[in-house]
Amino acid sequence: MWKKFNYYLKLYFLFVIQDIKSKMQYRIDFYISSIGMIVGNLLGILSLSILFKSIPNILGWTYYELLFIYGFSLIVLSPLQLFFDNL
Amino acid sequence: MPINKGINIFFFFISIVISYLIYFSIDFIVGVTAFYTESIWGLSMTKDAIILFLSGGVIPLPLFPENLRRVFEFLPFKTIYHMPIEILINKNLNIENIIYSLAVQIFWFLVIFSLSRFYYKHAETLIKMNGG
Repeated sequence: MWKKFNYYLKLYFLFVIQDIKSKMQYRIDFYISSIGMIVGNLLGILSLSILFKSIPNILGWTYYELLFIYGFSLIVLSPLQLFFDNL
Repeated sequence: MPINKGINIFFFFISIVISYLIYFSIDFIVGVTAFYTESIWGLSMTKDAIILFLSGGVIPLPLFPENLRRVFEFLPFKTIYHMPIEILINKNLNIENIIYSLAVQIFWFLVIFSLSRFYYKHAETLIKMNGG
């Protein structure tokens, strides 16, 4: 059983290496997309903070509670996208 | 004097056609950048996020703080989402406001379209082809 597990682990790392290679083939676009990912996530948080500048709460949900929920969803989402996206 | 209901739907369709043309021109500028960088996956993703935010697609522009909104008045992005929706749902607009909005849209379309043509003319000089 461990033999099989090690086999698939090795296969997984080979796939990850190929994926990073194919992403870095276009060098400038790789850096632009890295910056774009950060900008996209910042805009998500920024839109929440701008929304709560003009209204105090949404049905009793305050700004910090919604930030907690946003972060909690990212805890699930980002490991998935980091390790298993496009494989 | 506010205009009659139903007439604003007619202006809404004109406005949405122009806003699509503006969006296409910005898209075209990003697409032509592929002549320089060879891949535009990250750039087009970033452009989508920024346009959606600055044009009021995520949160409506009237909810933004006052000084930010004053900056957005001078940017072309509000002509994409904000202006057609404003024409459709704002009851206090009169015919002059709507004509003014359409004029602003046409102005920005002409500016961005001529920019995109100019950019394409420059990018055409370094075109590369593989295979074929």
